[in-house]
Order: sequence, then structure tokens, then C-alpha cells
Amino acid sequence: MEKLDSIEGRSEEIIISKQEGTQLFVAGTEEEGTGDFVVTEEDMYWWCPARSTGYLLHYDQLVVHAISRDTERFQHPCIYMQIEPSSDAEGEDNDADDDGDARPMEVRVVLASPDQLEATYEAMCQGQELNPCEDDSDDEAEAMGNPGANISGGGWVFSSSFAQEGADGPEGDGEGVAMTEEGRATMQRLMAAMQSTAHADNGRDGDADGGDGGDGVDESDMFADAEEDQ
Amino acid sequence: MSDKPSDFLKKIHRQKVVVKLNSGITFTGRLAALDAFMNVALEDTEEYVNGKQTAKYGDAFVRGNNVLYISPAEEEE
Repeated sequence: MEKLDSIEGRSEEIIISKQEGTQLFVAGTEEEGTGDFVVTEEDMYWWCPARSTGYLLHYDQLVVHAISRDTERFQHPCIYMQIEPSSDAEGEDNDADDDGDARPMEVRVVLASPDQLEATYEAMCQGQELNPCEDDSDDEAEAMGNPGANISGGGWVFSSSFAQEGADGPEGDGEGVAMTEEGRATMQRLMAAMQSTAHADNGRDGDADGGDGGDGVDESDMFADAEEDQ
Repeated sequence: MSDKPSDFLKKIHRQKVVVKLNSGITFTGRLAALDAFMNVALEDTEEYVNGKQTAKYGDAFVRGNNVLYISPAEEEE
């Protein structure tokens, strides 16, 4: 997260949501003044017009964002964010809440009205979806060969807010899970990772289905060490 | 069960899951949505650090590149 001296260069950005009269808390400390919290398709920023200052946040720095209504932890309902500093940006130390474990930087935005929390949260979700990580180590997008393919929601496996094209997935099961081919390939990789985690601690059988790899992936290899119990 | 990945996903949809981040922080909650970038949307989310609950949120969204794994929450009876 970096300081912002001006928002003049930002007029071309496509705004998803803008909340005025918001308060910003960085690492537990309230930022002076009230400002606009703006969520655009490119990034997010908080801007205090009275002080001509603010902060800019990029989506790849936003680890988690959530609606926080737990007033025991923080006195106001707010949008809660965990920020990871970019390689060149400096993260502030969170000395307000040092439990001994290094916590990521926490930023909170208190809106003028808590009724707007859902809309602001959803706007940030949209922004995140539009800006997936292109160079993460999983290389999922690159493996699929088309990083942009799933952006407009075609890659959502299921979502209450982003109900997508067709209740029928490619397998025609009609159960509301619409998966693209890339999505299915990724889910198989997810499955392999999850099987080794979940396999040991519950009674579920391993999913060794050798016969259903209709999309070019040999599932019997993937689950070679799982139980085969058909 | 016919053991397809999509079956597993249908199974965990709306179920309680554990999402562990690369940083070691864990979130549990009901799985609302998941995409191919491993972006995860949760409802009734709890945050755990070293096994201790540290926060509770309503809806939460985790950016996919931070996700180490997503696993069904254990339901021992």
C-alpha cells in the first residue's frame, strides 16, 4: 500500500464503487480525516480531499478482504483487509496487535453507513476477479494457456452472487456447477492436493476413478496412491 | 459416489471448509464460491493463527495466490 498525493491521474479508471465519508484505519491507527473509498477495476484507493492525501492499494496486495461486524475486536463494523506489501513497498508494522506472531498489515475502512458494507465487499470481489495473479507459482492460468479466460465468471465453479452460464455443466449434470474445461483441469489438480490432505483424517474413500478422464488427463495416474474402492 | 472432481466440489459447496494461506493463517467458513484461480469466498468465517481463533468475519474473500489449500473441515462424530 502506498501513499497517494493526487488522484488526478486516476480519472480514466473504471469505478466499481465509491463510498464517501469513510474512515481509514491502518494497522489499528485511524487516519486523519474522512475520505472516499474507491474501488476501481484496476485498483483501490482511499482519498481524503480535505488533506489532499490518501492511499493506493493494488489487488495483488490484497490477501483477504472481509466484512467485519465483530465489535469486540474492532469497535465499528467495517471492511477488513489484510495487506501484503509489494516487493518495493514497505509494510507498516502492526504494533497495535502484536500477539507474538507476525500478522500481516491490517487495514479497515469504516463506511458512512454499515448498510453499504455488502455492496463495497462485492465490489472488491469483482475487482479481485478482474485482477487475478498472473505469475503465481501454480501457473494455473499459464497451464491453461489462457489467463483471461475465466475472468468474467466463466471460471466460477459455483457462486451465489455470480451465478453463471448454464445450470448444466459440461457433463450435463444439471446441478448448477458450470465448469469450463480449464476449470475442470484445475479442479483435478486441486483434488489431488486435497486428497493427500483429507485422506488420512476421515473415512472417505480416495477418489480413484480411472475411467472418467474425458479431457485428456489420466486420472488413474493422478490418484495412483489413493485407495481404489469401486 | 462417482468420484469425479466436480462431485467433490458439489460436496463441499456450502460446506464448512478450512482454507490455509501461505502465511500460515487459517480461515474456516462455509464455501460460497471457488474459481480456477483458487479465489475463495467464504461465509461465517473464522480466522485462526496457530490454532487459536483470532477473528470472526461475515463474508470473506481470499485472493487465490495466497491459498495453500482448501480442505473440508473435519466432521468427526
